[in-house]
Amino acid sequence: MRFAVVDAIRTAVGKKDNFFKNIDRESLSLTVIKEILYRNKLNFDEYNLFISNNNISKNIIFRSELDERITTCTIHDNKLSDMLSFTTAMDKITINNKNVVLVSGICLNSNISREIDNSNICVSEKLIKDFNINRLELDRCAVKSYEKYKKSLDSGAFNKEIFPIINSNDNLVIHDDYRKLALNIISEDKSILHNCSVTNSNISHKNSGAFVSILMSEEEAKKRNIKPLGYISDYLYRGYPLSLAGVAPAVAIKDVLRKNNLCLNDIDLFEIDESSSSILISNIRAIASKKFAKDNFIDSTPVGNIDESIVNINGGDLTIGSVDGVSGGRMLIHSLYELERRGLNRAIVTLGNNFAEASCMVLEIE
Amino acid sequence: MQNIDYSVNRNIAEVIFNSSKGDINLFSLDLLYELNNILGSIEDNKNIKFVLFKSKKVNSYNEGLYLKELLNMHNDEIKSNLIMVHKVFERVSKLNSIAIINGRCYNGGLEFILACKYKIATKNSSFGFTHSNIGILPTLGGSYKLLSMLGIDTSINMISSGNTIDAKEAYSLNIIDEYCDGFYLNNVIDSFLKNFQSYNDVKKKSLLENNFGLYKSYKFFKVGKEKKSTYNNPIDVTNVINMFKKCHKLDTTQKMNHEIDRFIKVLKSNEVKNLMAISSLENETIKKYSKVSKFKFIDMFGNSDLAYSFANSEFKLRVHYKNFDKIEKLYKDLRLMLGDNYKKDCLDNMTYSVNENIYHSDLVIESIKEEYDDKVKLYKELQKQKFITTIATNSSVYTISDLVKELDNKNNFIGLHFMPFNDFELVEVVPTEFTDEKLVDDICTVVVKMQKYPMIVNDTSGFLINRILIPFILEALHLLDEGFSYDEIDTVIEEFGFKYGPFKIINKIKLDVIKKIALSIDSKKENLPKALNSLIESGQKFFYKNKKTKINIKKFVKTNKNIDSDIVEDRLIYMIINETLNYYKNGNINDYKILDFALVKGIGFPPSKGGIFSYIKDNKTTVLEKMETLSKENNRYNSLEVLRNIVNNIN
Repeated sequence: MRFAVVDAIRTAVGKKDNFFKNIDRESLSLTVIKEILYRNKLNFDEYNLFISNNNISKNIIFRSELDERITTCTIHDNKLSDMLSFTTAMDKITINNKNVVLVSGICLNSNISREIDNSNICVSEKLIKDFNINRLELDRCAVKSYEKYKKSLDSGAFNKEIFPIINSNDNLVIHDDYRKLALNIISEDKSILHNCSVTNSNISHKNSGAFVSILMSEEEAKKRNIKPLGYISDYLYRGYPLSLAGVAPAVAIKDVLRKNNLCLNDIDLFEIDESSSSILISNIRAIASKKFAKDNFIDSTPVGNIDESIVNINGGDLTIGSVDGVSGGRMLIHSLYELERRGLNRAIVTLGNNFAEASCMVLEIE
Repeated sequence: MQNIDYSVNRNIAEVIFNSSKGDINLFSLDLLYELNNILGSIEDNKNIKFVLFKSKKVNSYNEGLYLKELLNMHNDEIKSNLIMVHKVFERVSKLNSIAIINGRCYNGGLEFILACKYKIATKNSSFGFTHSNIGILPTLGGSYKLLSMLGIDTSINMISSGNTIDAKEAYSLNIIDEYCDGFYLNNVIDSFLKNFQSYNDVKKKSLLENNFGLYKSYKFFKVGKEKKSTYNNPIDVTNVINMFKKCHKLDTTQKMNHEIDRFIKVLKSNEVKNLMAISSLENETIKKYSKVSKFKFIDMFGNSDLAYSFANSEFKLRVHYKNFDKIEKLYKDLRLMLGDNYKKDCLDNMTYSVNENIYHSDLVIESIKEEYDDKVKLYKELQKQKFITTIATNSSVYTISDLVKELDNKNNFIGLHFMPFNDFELVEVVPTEFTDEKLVDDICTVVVKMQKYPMIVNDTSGFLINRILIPFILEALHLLDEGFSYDEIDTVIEEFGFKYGPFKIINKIKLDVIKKIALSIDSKKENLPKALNSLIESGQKFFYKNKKTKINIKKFVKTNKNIDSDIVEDRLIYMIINETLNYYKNGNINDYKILDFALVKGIGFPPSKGGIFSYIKDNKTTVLEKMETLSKENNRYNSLEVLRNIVNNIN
């Protein structure tokens, strides 16, 4: 069974203090929700489930055009809540016969002291030791992410997915608040902890943003004669042993591919967790590593070498910052628009948190 | 009894106002006489400990004296009646009287609860002296009672502004003792009666505190300033201060006499008469169209001013522009326009879009640039979409039947002409011969919900307002031709009582549009003032850069004459009279009152002068003389015959 992503948009991602000053969570989320409601033909009372990762779902509903009687479902606010929102939505569509589901995610970080997640640093540091990654590789990975992002920004890759919002200074927020990284500059950065390789530049910062998307089953979309953005053909959300923290996405990719009888060549694009350089590098290495496969994969065979040119082709969290509960949605939305833009068919989006949970989704256009 | 339901239950007496004068409560004289009798029986019955004063009407506690009744009375009669009312209020204040307020409590109603010892209100109640909007100051003891309660700043603001405050604010000012949700009202009353003794002690304390309550008075001062301008408010603040100064030295009976004398003097003046006529027409229009609106989702193309009128309304507005930059500008404009009224939620109902696909819409309002081809192209595109039901246009240059000519579906098309300024509250509704009759009604409802006043007018070029406003502006430009300076002309007109001078209006409409409208009304180019053409050719479309800086236009037009304010005033005002009479002569609208109302709400004619027919009525002979001399000098003034007719017939 496939699920149709009818429409999906997000706000630009940025720091609360610059971008979303004086905007509250409700208003930020409402801007995109209202836009998606108005720009789709579905009647406002046809939506029958609203999933969001914050405790203000009902407030949002009362202030929007949605029917007040809509069922809400709140996912606990953490790094993977966006992926969990999507998987929950699909579960509810199959089990509870909900027809049209609105999935939304929002994160508005204001606490500057939490700019970098401590557990993220620990996990990154652990992976650096496990996979023997040196400082230069980390920095190069970050710079590459920035270069890819900047190039696609100039070519307008994000125009369709970002809906501009008006902030409290009445300025339009159209582009993500990305940071500029150059190798000669960031190689001089001091490490965050004593005697380690993680620096401010090769780990992602916490940012704020929101996304929303409309989800329904494939049959429902056909019945309504809607041409969706794309389909989610399979999904997985699973916990792994804590020793796999950080590389859980690699295992999730393996599990999804095995379940669907797919091989690496069937996948046109990869979006892999980029919350730090070391996580991205070690995931790519883990998929190819025989030793890792022997220890962790059920059939003990590695997946193979991923072509790095199709991984995160337009950059990712390292450049624009990770948004807890939005990053996954952002990656999913971006992959769908990107598949369409490049005329490709299948993508895999995977994201893990620092406690060895991971989620993986297979996206298809046709 | 007719107006009051009275009952006694153990030691509690209930007096319930239920006026027979319609669905609001007013202090009509028969009600007050009834109250007088009831007070007698309450005073006789020694078992009664508390008296509750309630209202049976929904959302209306009491809205003051029934002025219409007093207008027809003799001065002595009014005076004796009002003295009776004062005495009634005094007797109420001696009882353990508790006012239970469940809605609008204005003017006399507010003065009545000030006389009561205790006041409990529901959350939806509002308080204020709305009569000062029509020039009448508090009459039943309100002025001096408020002064002793609130201090001078606050009471002046409350009395002179005519604004209302809600229960929460009234509580913070100690005007009421308690407020609660309507649902819990009975419980609150019960507990109030049970704990009466302790309430009494607290009250004494809080009154003491209140005398030093500077903070509170400051708050009210702000409230008073925020809401309304003083344009249609004839009361000068200095007037009120003088009253307070006088009151201070007088004893109670003298104060009472002073209040009543002032009331009688004002009541029969022309100003109050005109203001009352206009406010009664306001109420009539609102009442006529106050039903549930069929339209909820409104789409709009162009124009930030219209978006402003939708802010805070119940409609869901979606604005469409070609690109996001314009939307950014719209929000900046809106923030400026809303000023102090800008709040977090007031733009909650507004969304923006850059594409023309519309899926959820009851009404599309078009207000793009005045280009015929662009407009028709847009309508055609819109009519192709199947989710669009009604299209309204804010066109002022083209007639609606002109615009509708090439369209397939003409039934759902209507003209909806908004005025250039947001504080001009008139909206012209222009149906064509094809328009559904029901649609006209529904559109009027939308307009009323936007807190504006709809007026159905004929589909002639310029409709109603521009037929009067544009000649007025052209005359001002003729004066500019003759060498008067424009800011002085504006000052003269604003001193006459107009809200905006002609050149301030030009600033908003822009000269090129004015030229287009002028040509659509009268196609002769040679009648246009020279300044209009020369300014447009030089690229100058307005006169003031902002409120303070003026643009120097000496390059284009020579202005050297010293202003003669009499000539300027006469020529401009009589141009309005002339054009209104021409419109009246053509038989489009036959009602003096409605035309007057349109002038006040549509071009900012001073409401205290009531519109031109009231103006003619008040100065019959001078009007005729001046028009005669003007029409000899200039053939633009051509309505002398009509004026003669009207002067002879008007009462």
